Amino acid sequence: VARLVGVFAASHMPPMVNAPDAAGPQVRAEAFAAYASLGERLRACAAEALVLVGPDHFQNFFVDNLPGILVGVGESHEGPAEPWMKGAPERFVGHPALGAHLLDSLYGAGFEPAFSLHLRLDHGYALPLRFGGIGEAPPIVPVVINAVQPPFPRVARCYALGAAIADAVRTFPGGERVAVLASDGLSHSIGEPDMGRIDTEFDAGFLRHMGESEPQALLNFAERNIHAAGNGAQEMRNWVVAHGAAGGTGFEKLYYRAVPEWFTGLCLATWNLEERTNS
Amino acid sequence: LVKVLYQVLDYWLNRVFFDLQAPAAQAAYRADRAAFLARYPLADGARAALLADDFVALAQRGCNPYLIRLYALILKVPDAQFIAALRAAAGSR
Repeated sequence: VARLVGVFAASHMPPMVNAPDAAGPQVRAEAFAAYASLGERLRACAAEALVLVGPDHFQNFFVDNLPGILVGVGESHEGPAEPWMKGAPERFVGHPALGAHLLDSLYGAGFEPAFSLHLRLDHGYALPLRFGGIGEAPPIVPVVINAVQPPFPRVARCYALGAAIADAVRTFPGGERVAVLASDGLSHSIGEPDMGRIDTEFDAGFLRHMGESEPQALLNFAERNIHAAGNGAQEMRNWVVAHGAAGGTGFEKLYYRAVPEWFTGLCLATWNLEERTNS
Repeated sequence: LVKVLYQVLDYWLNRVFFDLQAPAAQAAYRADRAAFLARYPLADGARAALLADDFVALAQRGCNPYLIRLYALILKVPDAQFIAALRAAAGSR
């Protein structure tokens, strides 16, 4: 069966592409170096498939049909169409066999995600790969969590979803090495009056709880506070999915900095997986 | 903070924002904004706000924040100006 060989999380921020100079040279140098370091770790785990947990910024779905959770099961996925994402890959290779197994496994685990044979992966997917220096990403199974229009999947369900994703990986026939990468926030606000505000208190509390390996305390904290940390912070659900996939333990913050010039609390993290999670 | 629930979304106004992501739609919009908007059964207030580039009025309507942000990016509205309009709209509520 397949093995879960890495779990990672990264922020994604359009200003790093379309207005990087809004931040000073030291911030830029630090941030780009931190992404490169995450990319090295991702490459080092030699994943042959990548479950990429991200949002959809109205590239695929609108309020006439908006899934809460969706699995991309296609052979390939389109690259970003956002005009500021020039130079992004036109397409990403998918992993339809793992996607189908993941989808069916989730139904068996009490989730009923929507599915798509043809997704457009926006900057939320492309930016962590680009800044991580992942030129050719392993085949991707995107998992889209609605973070742009309430109501949102509850934080506790996102944690359970992550655990179910890890279980699905471990029952996937074959010996593939599979990594999970969650993409989002942390605290930020987009298109709302407090755009540019970063709730550093939320970010610190969230990261502290992630590190304490007491999932229930994390879930309570996040469900209670996520709504006040900027509408973009709703994407923190993706980190909770990753945390669930890692078994709620082993979180290691690699870098954090509030970058109001880029409108976002920038954070990169990995999880140190125990051997037992693969046995 | 105002969290826009779907019950208060202005569907057609948001639909305009969503559709304008397509380059062809952007070209048509730039060429003749009124003609483009005539395809949509917009409320009079929404149509007038779009025609007048009145971001304060737009932000006072039921806009999904990501979609009004996309619209501002398409129109190349400077961030400072966009955020000021959002704050003015919030302040008048």
